[in-house]
Amino acid sequence: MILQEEYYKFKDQEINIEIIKKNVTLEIDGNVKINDLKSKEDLNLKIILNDNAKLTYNKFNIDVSKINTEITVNNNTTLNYNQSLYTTLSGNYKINANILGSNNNTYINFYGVSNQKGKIEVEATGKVKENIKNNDMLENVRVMALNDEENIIYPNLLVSSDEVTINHNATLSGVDEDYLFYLMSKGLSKEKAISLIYKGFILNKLDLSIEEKENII
Amino acid sequence: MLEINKLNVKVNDELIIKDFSLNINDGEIHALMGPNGIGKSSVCKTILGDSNYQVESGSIKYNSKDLLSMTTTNRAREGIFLLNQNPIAIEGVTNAEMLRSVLSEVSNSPINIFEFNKELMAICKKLDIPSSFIHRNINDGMSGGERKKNELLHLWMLKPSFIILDEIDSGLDVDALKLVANSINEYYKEYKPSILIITHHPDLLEYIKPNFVHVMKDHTILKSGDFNLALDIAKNGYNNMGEE
Repeated sequence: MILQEEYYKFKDQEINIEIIKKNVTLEIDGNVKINDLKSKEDLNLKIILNDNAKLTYNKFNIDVSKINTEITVNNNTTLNYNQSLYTTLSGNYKINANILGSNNNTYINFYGVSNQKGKIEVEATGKVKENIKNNDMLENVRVMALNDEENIIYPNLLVSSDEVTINHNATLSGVDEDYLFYLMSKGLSKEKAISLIYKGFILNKLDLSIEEKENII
Repeated sequence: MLEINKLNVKVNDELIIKDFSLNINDGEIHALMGPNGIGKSSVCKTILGDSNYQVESGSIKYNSKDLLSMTTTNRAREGIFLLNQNPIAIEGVTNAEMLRSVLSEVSNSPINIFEFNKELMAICKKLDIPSSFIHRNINDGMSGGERKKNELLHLWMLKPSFIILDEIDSGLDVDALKLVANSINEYYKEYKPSILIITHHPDLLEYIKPNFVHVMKDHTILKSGDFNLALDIAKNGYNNMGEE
């Protein structure tokens, strides 16, 4: 489905989308899975999880230089937001998750790979409002450089509630030498080993079948 | 035939292998024993060209080819396979993807997926592991025993002619150790590879019987013998070795 309007409401469905509008709001009810694997443009994306919504959002982009994602979470929701990016451009990416209600599980994964002249700057912010209860949140941001450019992660947690479990993980790395030695010791060329390592890294958190992953990159 | 001659190796400017020489003929099984930290695993990593190990002098040849001038990839393609004591997990890379890529690169042509899957399924059955292992990420989320079996899956698919078993007994219970050893013995029976077993416990050698046993001390081979040397170590330990 090609999204060319500014507002969509999804309920109890699994859908493959391509976003061609710069500003898009998605309102989620019920159990929804979205695969957004083909979008090519800069994007301001708003996601609103209504009460009792359950959303898995798989997002993959190549060479997109600006993506702002604003997530609003109400009550009794589960969110798995998995964003992966491969870029040869210098880009800026923001993910803001605002937890407004109680009893939510909010898991955010951002996996980026920079190559050639690519440079990734990620700002991930989790905000938990005061006087709400029983929230579990993970903010996992990892960036791998295949080049010598400087990548940056700003992990922010702004928590005003006492009753929340919140974790964050931020890593900047190159290609792991131990991985490389292991794969080459099985007979893979260095180039192929690096290719498997970064593709595995970038696709690992996307909730897709093996066949779907093989067709992405 | 593997020929290691007067090898000296440094890690971080410290000499960890000194004047080390060892010849292993085709089809022979050798055990390299010694206490922890003596340099046994360093020998394995050096044979396969781990860049953390700097060869200061000496030579390693396999079937008369100079391994030290080869990349790790080419050493593996010559038929050398390392089964590590703690195989690492690689996120996002499946066994099938890795094996398919190796076989395809080596043969320089796309592989027959049907035959590939058929062979993998048969090996899983042989190793008593679920066929779901095929599409699992390499060693990811697996126990110590499962990781060793997963490495055996690679071994049976890649069919090496020289196998290095680096302390594969570590982290295995008796049943798992027997299963792994039986699989190695079965492979030996079918393909007659050379095998270098690294261990500090003689127990493993009860399951995979070596033709020769070598004991390391002070970062080099102190003594060589037959299986009785391993039995002697089981009885008297390493402490008095070399003092008689």
